[in-house]
Amino acid sequence: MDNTYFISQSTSLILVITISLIFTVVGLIYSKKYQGINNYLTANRNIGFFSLTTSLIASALGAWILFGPASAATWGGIGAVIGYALGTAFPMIFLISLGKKIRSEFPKGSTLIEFLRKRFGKSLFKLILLMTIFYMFVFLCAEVTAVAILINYISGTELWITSLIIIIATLAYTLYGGLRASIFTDNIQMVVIVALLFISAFYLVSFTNDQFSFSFIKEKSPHLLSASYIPNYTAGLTFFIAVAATNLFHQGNWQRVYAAKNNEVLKKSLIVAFVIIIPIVFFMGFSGLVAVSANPKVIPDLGFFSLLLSEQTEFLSLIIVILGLSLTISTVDTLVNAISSLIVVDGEATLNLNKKTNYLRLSKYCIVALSIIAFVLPQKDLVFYIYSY
Amino acid sequence: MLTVFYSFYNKKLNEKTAYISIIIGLIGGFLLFPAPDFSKSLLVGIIFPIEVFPSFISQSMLFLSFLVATFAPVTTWRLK
Repeated sequence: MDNTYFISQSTSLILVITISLIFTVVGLIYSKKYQGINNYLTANRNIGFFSLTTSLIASALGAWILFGPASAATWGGIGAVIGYALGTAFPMIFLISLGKKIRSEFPKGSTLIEFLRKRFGKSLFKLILLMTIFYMFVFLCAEVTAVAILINYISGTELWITSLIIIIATLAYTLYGGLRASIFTDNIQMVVIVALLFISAFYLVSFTNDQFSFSFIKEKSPHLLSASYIPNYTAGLTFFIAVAATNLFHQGNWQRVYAAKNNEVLKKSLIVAFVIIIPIVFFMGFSGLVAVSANPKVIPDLGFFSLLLSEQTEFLSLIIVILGLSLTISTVDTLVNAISSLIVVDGEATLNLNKKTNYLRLSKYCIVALSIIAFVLPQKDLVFYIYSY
Repeated sequence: MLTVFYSFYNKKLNEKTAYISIIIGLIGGFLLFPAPDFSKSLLVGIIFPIEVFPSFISQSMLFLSFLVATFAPVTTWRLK
């Protein structure tokens, strides 16, 4: 059965365990010397340019970039690709002015919701808090599911195995080291992600026989580049609004705004993150345009992989597994820490529990419970399968 | 989304208006948000038959859903 996949299950399993273990050990060792609630929530507001920039980028780019932009491009054309790229990067520009404003008006803050609590009453604050946690939880489930499906596609590994390893590894270092651990591992993950994306781009451009070009798309699927193709506009605007709006409420971004050493570092990091994110997401979306032009029957979600793995190269399969894991772990640790920070900071104002309640501990219990749900959800197909028989 | 960020720059926007505008945006977006196969939404195809709507609406439900969810709250501020 294994020979129908690109790599064997044992190879993929060794890779998943090794990569997860490396990030866990690095995160635990690094954060050992940075303990305390300030480090957990805002990294002691002392993060420099390089760490902040790589962390902003790594957190913004999850495993979704391997599926989403390419899939949308197959029907939404170049408009969807531009919408996705700008939507992912736009919050960085918006946060320059808003981040500076909130940091000056509320220098001891650590969440966006906390600011809203001061600005409005409790009703609106609870609504926004609920929506933010719900959005980040859905994001968490989607990331875990996406990487589990990716590794299942490449090696046939069952979804629950990948999900379990990634969730346990990420929880282990994020719940211990908080934002410090998340940002430090983001630095390494970002370097890995950029290096592997360069290798992927090199292979795609070199080995697709001139297919990876606008002229090829124009020849095979001219409507996807046409100014008169309406989905280019509707899909572009849809993805721009959807991605930008959700990222603006992403508590992980707001934690990093507060974690910046000063406003100058924040501004420079956000500008550089904006500049780097756009070509990465555009490239992923462009691969979807090429994939559907080369094969109109391509499965939209697999557009990027259909090009890269067309020769079934084992080396490229390994690259994709490592890339998918790095993208996922960097996003999942950001989400875990972000949800946890919301419960710590805003939980007290919402829940009105006993004064002796340790909200940090409570947040960790909540995160573990949410992670169990995120682990169970990717197994939905398996549950249906069991019920069917 | 617009309500929250607009409120940072307009101190006159009170909690009640902000709350109502967000709820209107959520409900509007939810009514038009399409099923996974894009064939229908709660408003188009379930509450009202799909034939009642122009083809542009039934073919662009995801787009309209986001558009309504984003901009419907703005009309609430204006009305207030």
